Amino acid sequence: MSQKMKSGSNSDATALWRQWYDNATKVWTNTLGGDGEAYLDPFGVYRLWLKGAQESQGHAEQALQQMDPVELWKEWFDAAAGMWRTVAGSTPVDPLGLTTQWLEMVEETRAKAFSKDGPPLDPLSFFREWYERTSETWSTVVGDVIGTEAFIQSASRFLDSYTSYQRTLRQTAETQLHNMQMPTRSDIARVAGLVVALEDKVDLLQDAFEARADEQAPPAVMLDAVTALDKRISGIEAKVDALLSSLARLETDSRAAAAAAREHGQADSGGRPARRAPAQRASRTSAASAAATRTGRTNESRARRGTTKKGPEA
Amino acid sequence: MSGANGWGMLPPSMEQALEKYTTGMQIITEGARAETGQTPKEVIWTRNKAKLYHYEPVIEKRYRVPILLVYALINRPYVLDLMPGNSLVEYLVGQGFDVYMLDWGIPGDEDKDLTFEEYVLDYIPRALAKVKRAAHADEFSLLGYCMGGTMTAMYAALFPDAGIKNLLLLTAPIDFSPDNVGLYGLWTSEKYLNPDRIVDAFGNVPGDFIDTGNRMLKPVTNYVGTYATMWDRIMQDKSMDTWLAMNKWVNDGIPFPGATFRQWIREFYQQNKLVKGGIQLRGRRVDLSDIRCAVLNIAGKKDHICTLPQAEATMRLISSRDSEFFVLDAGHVGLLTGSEAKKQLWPKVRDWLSKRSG
Repeated sequence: MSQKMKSGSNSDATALWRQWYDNATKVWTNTLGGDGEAYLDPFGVYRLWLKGAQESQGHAEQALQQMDPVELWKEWFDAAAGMWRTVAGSTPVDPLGLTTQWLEMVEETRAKAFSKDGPPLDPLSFFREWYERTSETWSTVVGDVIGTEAFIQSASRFLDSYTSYQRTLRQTAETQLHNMQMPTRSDIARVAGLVVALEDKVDLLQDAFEARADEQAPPAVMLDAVTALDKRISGIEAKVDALLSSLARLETDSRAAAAAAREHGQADSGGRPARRAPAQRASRTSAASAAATRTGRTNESRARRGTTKKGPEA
Repeated sequence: MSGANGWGMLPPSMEQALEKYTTGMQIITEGARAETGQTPKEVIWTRNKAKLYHYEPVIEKRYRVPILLVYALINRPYVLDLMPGNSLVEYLVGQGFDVYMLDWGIPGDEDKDLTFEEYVLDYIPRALAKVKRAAHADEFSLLGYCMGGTMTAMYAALFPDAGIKNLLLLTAPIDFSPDNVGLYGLWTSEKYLNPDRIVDAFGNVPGDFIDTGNRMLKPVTNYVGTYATMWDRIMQDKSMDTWLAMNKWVNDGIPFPGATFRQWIREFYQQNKLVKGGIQLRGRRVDLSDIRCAVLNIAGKKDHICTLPQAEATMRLISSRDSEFFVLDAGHVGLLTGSEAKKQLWPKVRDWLSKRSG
């Protein structure tokens, strides 16, 4: 179909429509009895619809030839209404009043569509418009129908027969597979059930272990407090590290300053050592050893908590 | 209509039109394909088919109390994490909440005997123990959606002292009196629906069966409107991502464990036992007045699956001093995803939770 479309009618939208119409009608014809097979259709609605569709095809083709989209849509509406009138007139039993309501809706939509601005001229926006104009009515109609006792009764009867059929089918399949010495769905489900039961037991064991572990572990509030404390200690450590680095820098600077002063003094006094040098040395030694001790303690405490960092260059 | 020939909406070339037609037909025949549930997560616990997800934080945790999302037993929970930019989960994670989700998985034939007893008394408590352990927390928030809301409400009533700090119910049906449940009241009436027949025939109730029931509440919108929108979007070259993700989810129904379905129809829909205090799980009576934690109860005006009165009933049954009923102008699913959810539901959940999760 697509090949045909591609080759023949790039710009001829009406031809495309005609093709679509022909093909759709053929599909319906084949589906609903073209091959002569029986088709269960209690209301006969579809067959009648099809008959109506075939009858109206000629009218539609005429409209297509006229190339007037407005006329085309009018024709379409008339054809649709005609089909449903045929259905409504020929169906003796319509317990749900479906066809009558549908017909009313088609007429209403027709009136709406052609009342003001007329229908949109291209098929896509037409169908969109058609949906928007009819969906509310549709919903009301369908809602009214499916909310009736009559509908529920027939649905309930259908469900009963369907579940009976399904149960019989299952039982038959089970019996046949059993006779053929093959595992059935029930057998597989039984094995799966055993696995699930085993998994449940393992899960219960895990639960018991976890409960035991939880009993021994500090409560969550305490854990939160410990975590907060840990954060604070880390903060303090970072500050101490910064202080130690500063101290080390200071020591290096003062050593350099002392050396410079010494050199300066020697130059001034012709090689005699400066008077305050021993005291400065003693002070430097004690500061460095204190810094080293503190760094050592910090690293130890980090190591205990497993957060050892590389210490500052002391 | 803009074109000279009056076929304005048709694309300039027929090939382009056919391409679009093919795209649409492919979606209709093969089903929508979309990447869903993409927020990074890890499975921290499994039991049978159930999985407990922990969503990976993207920013430092701002709130001490973790939140567990519990979904319904029908359909898949990824609607809560639909796609990037349209995901409640992603939003909450992005706001600094510690988020977990319980995915019930797809039940097999071997699960047909699972009941609410197992789900409410075994699975949820066990999952919560895991959440508390993983989050180092003694308290938690529970968010239940749809039937997941009913189940979390039952849990909250049975275990009021297990650490539940906040309970969020999203379109959670509680009162099943026939006047409240719309068409479901008629469809599930004892006169016309015998759940035993269905369970005996199928074991687990097929996802399609449940799905058809839900769609038939609004057949025109669900069967025609959805595809009218699809064609409209395709033909107008609009983004299809959200439509595809939603359509994938809608058609991704899973079986309903038979024994639970039996309970759900008989004890909830037909006998409305929950509001009467008649639900008993392993001999333990579910009394909703035992719910004392903070409760945010959210419902949609246009919701026809869990109607407004069904959800609203919670407010008169619980004993919580801190409770709020929040109504959105949305449907059952529209409430969760999409632009309106981003504007209304998500910020509401964030604001309400953030004040109570410190």
